[in-house]
Amino acid sequence: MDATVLDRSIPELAGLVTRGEVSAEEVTKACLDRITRRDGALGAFLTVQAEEALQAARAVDQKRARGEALGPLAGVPIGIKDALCTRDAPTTAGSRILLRPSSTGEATPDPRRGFRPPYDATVVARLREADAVLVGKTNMDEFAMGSSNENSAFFPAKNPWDPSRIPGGSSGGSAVAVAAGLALGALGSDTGGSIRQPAALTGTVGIKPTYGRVSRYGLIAFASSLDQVGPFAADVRSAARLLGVIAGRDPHDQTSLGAPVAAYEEACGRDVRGMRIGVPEEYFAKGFGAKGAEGDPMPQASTGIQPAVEKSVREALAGLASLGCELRPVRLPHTRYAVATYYVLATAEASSNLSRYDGVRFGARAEGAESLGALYAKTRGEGFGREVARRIVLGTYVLSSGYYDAYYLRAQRVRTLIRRDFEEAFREVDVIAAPVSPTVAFPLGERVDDPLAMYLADIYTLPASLAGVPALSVPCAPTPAENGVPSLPVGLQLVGPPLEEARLCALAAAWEGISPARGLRPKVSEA
Amino acid sequence: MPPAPEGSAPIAEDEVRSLARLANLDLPDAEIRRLTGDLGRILAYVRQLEELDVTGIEPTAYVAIERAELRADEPHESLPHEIALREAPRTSMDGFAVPGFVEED
Amino acid sequence: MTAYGAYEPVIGLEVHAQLLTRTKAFCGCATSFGDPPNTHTCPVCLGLPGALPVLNAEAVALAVRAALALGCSLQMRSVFARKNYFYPDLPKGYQISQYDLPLALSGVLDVEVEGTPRRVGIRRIHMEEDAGKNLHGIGDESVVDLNRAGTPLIEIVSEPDLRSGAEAAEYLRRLREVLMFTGVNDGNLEQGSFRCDANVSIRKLGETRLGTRVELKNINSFKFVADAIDVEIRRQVNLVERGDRVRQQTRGYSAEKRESYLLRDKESESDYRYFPEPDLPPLVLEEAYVESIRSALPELPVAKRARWALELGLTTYATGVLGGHPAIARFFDEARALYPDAVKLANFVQSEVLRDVTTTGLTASFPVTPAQVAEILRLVDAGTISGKQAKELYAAVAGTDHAPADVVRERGMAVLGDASAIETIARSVMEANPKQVASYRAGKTALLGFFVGQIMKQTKGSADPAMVNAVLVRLLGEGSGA
Repeated sequence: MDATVLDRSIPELAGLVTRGEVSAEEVTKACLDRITRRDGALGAFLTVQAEEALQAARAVDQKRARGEALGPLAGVPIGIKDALCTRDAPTTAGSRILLRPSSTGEATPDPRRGFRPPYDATVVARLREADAVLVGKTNMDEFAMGSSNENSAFFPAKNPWDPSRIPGGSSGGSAVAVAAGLALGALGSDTGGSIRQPAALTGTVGIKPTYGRVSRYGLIAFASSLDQVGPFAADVRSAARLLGVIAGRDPHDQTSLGAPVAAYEEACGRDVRGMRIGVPEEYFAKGFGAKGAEGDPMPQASTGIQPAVEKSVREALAGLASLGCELRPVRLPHTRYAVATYYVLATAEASSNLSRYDGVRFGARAEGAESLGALYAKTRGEGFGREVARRIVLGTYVLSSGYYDAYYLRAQRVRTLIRRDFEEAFREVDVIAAPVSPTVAFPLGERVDDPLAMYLADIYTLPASLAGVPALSVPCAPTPAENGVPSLPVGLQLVGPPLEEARLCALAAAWEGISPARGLRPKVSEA
Repeated sequence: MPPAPEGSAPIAEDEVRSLARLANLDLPDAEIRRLTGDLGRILAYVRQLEELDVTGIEPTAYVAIERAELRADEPHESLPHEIALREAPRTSMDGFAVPGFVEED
Repeated sequence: MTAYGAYEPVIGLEVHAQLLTRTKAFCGCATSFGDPPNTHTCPVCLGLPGALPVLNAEAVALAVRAALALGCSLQMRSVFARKNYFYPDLPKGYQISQYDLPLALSGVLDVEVEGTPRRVGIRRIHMEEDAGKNLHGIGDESVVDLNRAGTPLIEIVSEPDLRSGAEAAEYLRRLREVLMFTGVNDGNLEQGSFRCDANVSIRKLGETRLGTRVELKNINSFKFVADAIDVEIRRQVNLVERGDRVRQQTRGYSAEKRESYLLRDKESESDYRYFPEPDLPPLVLEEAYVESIRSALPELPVAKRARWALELGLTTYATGVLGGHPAIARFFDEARALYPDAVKLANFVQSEVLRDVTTTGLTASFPVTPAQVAEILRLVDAGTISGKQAKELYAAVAGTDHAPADVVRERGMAVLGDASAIETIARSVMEANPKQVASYRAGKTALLGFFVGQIMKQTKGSADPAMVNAVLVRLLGEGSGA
């Protein structure tokens, strides 16, 4: 069997396995082999469950041998963001606070000592039921807080297009796994752009569903009213199939929606002529969202969209027009406040969600704490990274009495205004098209000391999260190589009304068909 | 990033210290200082929300567009006791052990 | 002037009552008491990463029932909120409760203290989850058991309308009774399913503002509630009278020392940073749903007792005893359906049956059935046995499922030398046969045999002949056969 089978789409590979043209075990072996040869330099995976994956693959083959019907993901190797609970397998959320104390007292945090959940996240269980092969847990920013994967407590993930650059975050590992051909699909989570942005920066497809479309049970919570699990894949149909498997009401999650799951994969190939596409022109303006404190010169990253990125996105818009879509300007006037709104609401929820990490029932526990208070404070002070501590303190502040009304409540009202912007826009258009990220992937280390600059880069993705509407990133033309900077991926963001993921898949698939990025893969060196 | 101009600090170091205490985060002084600077800049940015007139605008606490289906009062199988305690760093007498404390209630 | 000179005590009570559901508030683990530690837990109530709460429908139904029984204004849309604080028995580091928008507001509970009726306002009722339990003194550690964590509670907050320990104790008794009669809570103070904290303050008579309040925690015995509160009032009055001020504190009560003691100074209150719980959508109630619960409400205890006094002629004391516990009231009602003389029944149940009855929560174990009691009383009415023998018969029937009539027969109990029983039968025989009575008294003394025969017939031959003779001779010789 040729390892290039790993570069096929999910529907194709599942078809091969189902028809017995390849065995799941062969595919899994090839995949694990590639991970061994390629991932050392990329850091996509925190842990690889080789034995379990092979067992699962053999089980699929045996099922087939018995003449039983196979699921839609038969034999497909999938990576799982380490924010998702996988029964009995180490789960770290990218943090050392979820590491069991080391018996040898070693200092380097080893993700294999991660917390072993006694249960599977619902989305993980659904993948297993669909006969997918879960190969490993992917790297991420700690507790999903970050846009570069540099906040991982273990090691950064690297962009396969240029390993001196970040892949995006927080679902960096999942994006890298797919981009580098280490898995055919991966699950990530998106709270403010954490699927869409790494997808854009790595030239893959990433979907953030409507809030509530996919169960959050088993997703280690960052911001409960914003978090959603979604798929990564190399092409739209693959991502659509993955979405179809994980979507749907879950009795374990009371915020999950009961609406029937649409046929996302079937929607690909639908004719998109006549679709009305809204373009928020303000997103291309200089300094959009970049307003800062008086007299405080804003850093480079926030002065608006990079020209090469803008060019690529505009070309994609022209491409949509050539497909028969009608482009119209729309205004989303309150979305410029999305960063401020998000960093009040998300940090508030996070400060509460992260209180359970206290050294008592799981994970790390500080040594030598002589009182209960010391146990809590030391465990958490040592266990959380800088960005997480920053957000917990900020979140605690905006919820504290005296500040609640001015910050938290006000941010919730602005959130309503942002939702209304989308509701009104969608009265006039069917889909909104926009950039995903103001820049291409930036070099590792460039922004670690500048939290606000990092936050501001989320300006295009945050609004859809706040409004709870579905959005995806699909590759458009990468930037041309110049001045020693290689060609780097750019993503086109498509945003839709609630529960219109099928419409987005249809449009993304149609664009993909004519996209200059189609079929492009990074050259990945092998050890 | 350049430091914020004098006298415009939206948050003081003392306040950051007590927030860290409230959040049970034992952080070294250098980290508290750094945090104070970072938070100051972030809060100054966040204050732009005050520009907006939000009179009469309902706060969005819930984005979900449906109402919840409640759960029937039927028992499920609880975790076996060893599994419930499996990940605990320290157990004693079949329970989760912590440094001894006196109840205030 | 009050009992405290120029000062008026102001007391509000907060009751936490566990709802009688099979499972916890937010997960399907069984509710329990006294089971081995951490045997009723799951990712949700353990607060594991990734777990989410799922609201129990029955908890909602019981909370709504309680709110309706207490005359509250039900909020058709209420919202859950997180109360954030760190404690070992609170696994998530926050408690899911309700804050700004609770389930119910503005109820009332009528109580009577020393004959004076008082109406106590209920400020609010909200739903929340219970914490686990901490065990101390295990070496130098404390140990946490999370079996109780997540048990559904309602918190019932009264208006500060109470003015004495006695009133507070009465309010608690009445409240507990309402919750028990509606099947919401089992009223078990020892097991902690019904817990009470009191907020006590004083103010100058005529003043409308409230004084600094002290919270008395976990006063979990009716015996001590009144004492604890009165002792605390006295402490506050003493403080103020000597020029000191009352500090905002949390205090406990020692029954042996009859004094309250400091648990925690609360001059600076904890900031719980309440915010709406994002994992639970708002609780929206439908009119039809509320009506179905309202129409299924059982008769409330005060109303039941008042009706018994009025319609059945029972004494206040008797209604209090028989109508004080739902299982006892139900027993009485069932017996009354079979034996309508309420007063006789009440007396018998109080004097004989209740001596052997133990209550545990909402259940009571009776050594006899209502049917057996009814039959015993019918046997007395029929004269088959005397009132005195009824006691003996009860003792013989208790703990068995035998029919009392059978026991009477087997033991030959009927009128075994019981003069009064024979007398009763003799009188009834005489009443039924006035001609023969007249004849006998006119001189036909041979008719004695007739009467003896009648009596024997009625007692199925079990009457003592000598006794029968003696009784008949006496009665017939009295001139008037009545």
